[in-house]
Amino acid sequence: MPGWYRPAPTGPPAAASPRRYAYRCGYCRADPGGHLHDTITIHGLRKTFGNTVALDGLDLEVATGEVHGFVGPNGSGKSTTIRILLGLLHADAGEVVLLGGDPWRDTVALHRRLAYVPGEVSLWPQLSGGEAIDLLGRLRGGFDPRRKAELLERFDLDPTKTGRSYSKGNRQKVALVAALASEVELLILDEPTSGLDPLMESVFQRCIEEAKAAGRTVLLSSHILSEVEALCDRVSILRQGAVVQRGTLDELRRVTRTTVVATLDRIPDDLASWEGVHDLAVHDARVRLSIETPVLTGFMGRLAGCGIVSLVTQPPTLEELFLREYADRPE
Amino acid sequence: MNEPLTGVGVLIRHAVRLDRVRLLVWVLGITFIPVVTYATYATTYPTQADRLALSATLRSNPSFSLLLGPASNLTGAGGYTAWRTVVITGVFAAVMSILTVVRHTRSDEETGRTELLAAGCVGRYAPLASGVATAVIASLAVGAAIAIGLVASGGGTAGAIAFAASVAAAGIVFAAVAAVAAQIASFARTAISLSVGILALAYLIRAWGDASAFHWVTWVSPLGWTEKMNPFSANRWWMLVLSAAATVALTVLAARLAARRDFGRGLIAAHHGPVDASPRLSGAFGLAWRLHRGRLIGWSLGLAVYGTLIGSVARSIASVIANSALAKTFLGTGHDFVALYLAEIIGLMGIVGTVYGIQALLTARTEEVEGRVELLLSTPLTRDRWLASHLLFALAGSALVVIVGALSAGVTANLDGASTSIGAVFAGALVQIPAVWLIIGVTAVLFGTVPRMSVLAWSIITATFIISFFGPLLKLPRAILDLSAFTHVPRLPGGSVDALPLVVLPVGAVVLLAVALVTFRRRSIAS
Repeated sequence: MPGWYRPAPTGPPAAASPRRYAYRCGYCRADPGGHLHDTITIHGLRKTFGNTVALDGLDLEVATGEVHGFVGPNGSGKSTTIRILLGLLHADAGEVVLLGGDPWRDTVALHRRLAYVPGEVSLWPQLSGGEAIDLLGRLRGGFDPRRKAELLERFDLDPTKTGRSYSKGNRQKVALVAALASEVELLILDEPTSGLDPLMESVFQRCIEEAKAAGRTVLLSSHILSEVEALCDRVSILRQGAVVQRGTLDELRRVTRTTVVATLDRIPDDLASWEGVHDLAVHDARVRLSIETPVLTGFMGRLAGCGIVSLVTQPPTLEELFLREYADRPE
Repeated sequence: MNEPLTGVGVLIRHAVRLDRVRLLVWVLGITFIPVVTYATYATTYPTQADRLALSATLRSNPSFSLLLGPASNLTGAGGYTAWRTVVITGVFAAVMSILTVVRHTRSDEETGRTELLAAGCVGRYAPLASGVATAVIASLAVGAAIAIGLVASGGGTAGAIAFAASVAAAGIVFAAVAAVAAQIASFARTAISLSVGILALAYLIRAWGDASAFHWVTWVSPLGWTEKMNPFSANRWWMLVLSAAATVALTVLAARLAARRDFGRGLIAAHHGPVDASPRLSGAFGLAWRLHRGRLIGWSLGLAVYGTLIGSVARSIASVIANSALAKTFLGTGHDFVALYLAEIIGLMGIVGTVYGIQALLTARTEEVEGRVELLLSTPLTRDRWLASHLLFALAGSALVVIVGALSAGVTANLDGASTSIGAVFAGALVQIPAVWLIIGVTAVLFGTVPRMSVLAWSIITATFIISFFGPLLKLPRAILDLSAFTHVPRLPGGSVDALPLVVLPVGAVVLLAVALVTFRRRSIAS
């Protein structure tokens, strides 16, 4: 059973990831001020609600300047993690360092440097969208009104409607405009596009690319996997309150399987027992199988000996990674 | 789907089931008013002399006509109960109907529940019809309960049924009014405001008709019909025809409007707001002002009107009390009964002000539950400052409301010729404030420690009201009377001042508020 591709939950992240330690620590008791932190460092985070374990030893590292995908199904602990990062919830155990500070203790100082878009945006029924954006912007210390006007136009949002007459997607746009208009180092976005149409989705993606180009860090919780694939430098996949996979998309692909469809002159009898081969299906001269990506080279060499007539290989999409992670291990 | 009412039976059963506790509370609460008035008449005015004096005083004062309608026959329990309570009971039944209809029509449409139903096997008019039917059922239940209660208290059957029918009719007519409003307005809040506005107009039209020379005006108002039924005296049954005709006409209008408008929209479009916020909408306190100002202005105006009406009848009521056998037995003679009466009214305003304060503070809880606090607290806004912004309106707002109400009563009583000093009335209002703040402090501690229990504040104020206003009548033991903060408040004007409660109550309030702020800092924010 090739279980080796799955790093232990507490182990170090895959080594190839680009890393810029940026925040001088004002927090860790053992060594105050003596070392540097990522934008977000979480170790062994635990949180229970009554009998429900929401977070079960979660580790997360978000490097400065990266767009980090935070992926997992509903109830896997994404929002709980984010709410602990925002100082709205108190963690039961574990270490959380946000922008070099403690999110529970240094709440106000840290909040000057970040903006947040909740998954379920609720606006004040009697305030117009424009007023809500201004209010949030002023609370974050003010912003450029031209930036607001530009974002309103790009997101095609009518700011004169009142909070109670916006649809879910438009409420999300209000929170997005307020967050993107402010000059902050970190954007924490909790499923920010679940109510947006494909056109707005692409506007959103351009805005995130611009934020990244401006040097901002983005924590993007999402289950729209094409969006994560398009935007994120690195991805952490959650399952039942812990991160079970993390790394760049390439690293994640390396630990999973590639789909191969080939038409061969001769189909070897023992193909099913070749190293790393799974899900073999044979139709006449055509075979369809999935192969563990690390042994792909050796496999192709052996396959060439069988006389390849046609060959299609398909790297795993994030969706496949995701489904595999959950399909392999039933709840 | 050709049957426009398909599924209405299922919807009605669902609505009644959903509302069973809510409607039961309404029915019992509304029934309580006339039944208790009827049952206590004999003990309050035991002799024929008492009753004649009562009748003579109340008839001569036009303010009472304005408030309650013209007094006809006050020497019997039935006539007195009808005069004293039928209009106000009708108003409560109407409010119940309005809230029920809007809840099952416009609210459901706003939140998208109706859409789920409309896509299923449900006729076009079924949601509207079931909302109205639920309110009609509730109104009939109110009528039945009142009829049974009055007969059980010794009322004549015909009079009791006439009383019950006139109240139920008010409930049913305003169910139809709300049905129309729910088609016109795009939002539940607007529909409720519109319906309650029409109810207020109906009350004013009735009041003006009764108090002016143009008595026919009263007949224009549905509440006038309730009054003119004249239960226990004339028993004008044919008034029900007017109510029934209005109900049918309004329901048909509502159905016509429902057929013409688009789903999810009203006839008046949603209003638009500004693109940019005014400079004042900045920070927690700027936001709190926007969230609280409507309610604060509404409550202040309401208590100003109530105080004015109460003040204008203060002397008449005081003389009724002074001449009653009950007062002579229990209080003796030689009191300043106007001052006693005003002190009682100011005590009531203290409790009403507390209701405002609790409502204002629970806005904070609504903001939390609906998820807006999460967004606010993700900005550099401290929890202290955010909670303080709502506490400010709860504390200062409740004080303002009590003072406005008390001064309105004091000033109009003086204009009417009473000799109670305005300063004493103002002092009477001021001494209420520590007790008001103490209860708001308890509410704040609930919010800070066990937020889910915040609504217990309503039980506390209800218990306080019952202890303070019925405790002495029910002869409750001292230990229970002392549980109400208002028991310890000096009764001004007229009473003596004990300094101890005026120190203990404010200190208690300050401690509670501090506890609330500290515990709120440490707790989780609801998602």
